[in-house]
Amino acid sequence: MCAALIVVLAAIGLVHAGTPATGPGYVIDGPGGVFLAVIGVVGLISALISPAYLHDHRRARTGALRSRQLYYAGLYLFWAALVAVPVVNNLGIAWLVVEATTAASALMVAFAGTRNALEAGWKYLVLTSVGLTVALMGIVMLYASGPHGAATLSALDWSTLAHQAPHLDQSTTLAAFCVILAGLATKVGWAPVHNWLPDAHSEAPPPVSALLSAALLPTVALVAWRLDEALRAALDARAVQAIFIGFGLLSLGVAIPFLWKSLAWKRFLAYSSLEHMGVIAFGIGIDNRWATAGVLIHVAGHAIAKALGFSMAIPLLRYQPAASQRAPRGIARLSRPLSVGMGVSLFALGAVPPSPLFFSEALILFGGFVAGQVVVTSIAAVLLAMGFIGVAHMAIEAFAGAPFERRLPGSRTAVWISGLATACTVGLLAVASIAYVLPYSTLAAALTGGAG
Amino acid sequence: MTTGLIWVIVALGLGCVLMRRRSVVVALVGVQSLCVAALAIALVPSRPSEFLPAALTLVLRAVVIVVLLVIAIRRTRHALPGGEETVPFSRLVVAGAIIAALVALIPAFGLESRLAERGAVALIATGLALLVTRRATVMQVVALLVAENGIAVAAVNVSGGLPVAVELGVAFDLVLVVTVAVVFHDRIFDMFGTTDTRILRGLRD
Repeated sequence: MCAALIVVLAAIGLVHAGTPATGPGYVIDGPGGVFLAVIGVVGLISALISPAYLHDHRRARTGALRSRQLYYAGLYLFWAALVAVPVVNNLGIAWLVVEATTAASALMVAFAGTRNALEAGWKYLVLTSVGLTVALMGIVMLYASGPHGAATLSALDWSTLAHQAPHLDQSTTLAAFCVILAGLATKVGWAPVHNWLPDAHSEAPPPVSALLSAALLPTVALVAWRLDEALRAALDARAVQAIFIGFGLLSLGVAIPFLWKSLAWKRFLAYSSLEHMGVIAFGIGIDNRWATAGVLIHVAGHAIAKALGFSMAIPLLRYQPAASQRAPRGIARLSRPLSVGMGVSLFALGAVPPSPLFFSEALILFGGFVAGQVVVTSIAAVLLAMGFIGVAHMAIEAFAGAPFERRLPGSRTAVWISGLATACTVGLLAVASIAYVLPYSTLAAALTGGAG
Repeated sequence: MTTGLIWVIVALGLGCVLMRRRSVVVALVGVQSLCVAALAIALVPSRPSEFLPAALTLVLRAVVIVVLLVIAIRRTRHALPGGEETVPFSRLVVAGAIIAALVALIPAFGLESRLAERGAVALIATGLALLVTRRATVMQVVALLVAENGIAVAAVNVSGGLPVAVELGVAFDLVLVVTVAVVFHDRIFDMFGTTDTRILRGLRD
């Protein structure tokens, strides 16, 4: 029901991509529609796979935070806060909602109650809270540098910021933008302020990891993207481009050595998130119709692939409990449905055609070359190719060879794995199919200010 | 009065960097939060509609957060980090370096006084310094509070004040985050027998 409502909102946003529906405090536009659809679908998958996780978790050993009611309260609060982020029409309120996601999700990260889960939850809470405090300082700087008068919330509306931008002092606005972006980067997980990300994603329950990786990270990136759009007239375009591209390349560069290592499945997916957030930052930095279309496809494709990947962690840990600490092995011999599910996720994340990530990365790189950013785009292309090697390594390690453990699953497990893998494959192909038309759509134009 | 209060607030932040005992540091940050509230209270007579809600919010926030931290400390009395924590002089040097760097980097951004701008930035920097030099869980929450007090100093000195909705929302979010942090503090103590975050080094690649 919740997911259906969110998807309806998303559809309204996509239909009105050129003429956003706005009202007091809210905006439903094309970009928001894409992110709402992502949050709706990923939240639905998380809710659907939660019973399987809780069934297994009941047999786990430690943890006082465990209870079914607490789990679902946390999950739905987290999901609700996420839904609000693309809809709010105000930078200040967006910050409040993003901060609220921290409080809701930190307890969820530590839900397992193990030492590692507590460590991951604490790091996540402290680092992202401090990051968001820095972002809030930037928002106060931006507010203070604007036209003075009575304190009104509407001064931080996206549309008001865009209207006032030509009259703002450029150096102060750039400083405020940098401070906000540095703060938001901790929540998006862009390197070098990504330290919480691998730990939180790998220790959280898989349904929460899916929401964190596939929905939270790109949704906070949307706030940064909207701010860039709103302040465009007051910012030095080259400086902003350099900041986003810098975050992108650094994130890619930091992720790749870890993708090459032999890691546990969820930890591998966590570093993959760092890589893909880097791709999104790079695409936002390029900022033309091709790169923008690529970013939107990347957000949607990454969300489906990552949600499927984290969902597969539940049956994987049933077959191979030791895979929580080391790379899985011999999955192809253990279970065909599980190997299909993990394979679809891996090959989609590795941008193997016809994965939507193949088209999105191609569009972003093409956009980079069209924008004249030959050197940085070439570096990004090389880094993406190196990232693919890491994915291929994981695929060989996970599927080939002899399994080191074997636990027989129930037939119901095989049914839901197959169903989810099929649905996600259809979703991935549907996202890939719009890659050809999206660069010329009003949606891409809306995010580039109509520029090519 | 405002100028003197800002200096006191910054000095209390540096006191948090120097002092070892958690109870003293919590007392310092509590007094600091009330001083920030006093900045808003001083503006109430001239502009009641703008600063009365802010002043009330800041007082309430300070009281609730200090109560939460006192409860946290009382439950974990013997959990002070050992002698390997950075020495006070080193902490002060780190804080001074971060303050100097940030004050030099951040340009004037339109507050009513340049001192308030520098004070706000100095408090953010002090919070960051506390985060990197202190290891007890409570100290890391204090780091967040000192930084938030820096933002409150800036917010009080914005011409016309910040929107009430933002003030209330920020206070609510901060109380929520501190509450969650206190839950973690308790769980970490129960599991590890200490609240020294140096013990949290199990997750490495």
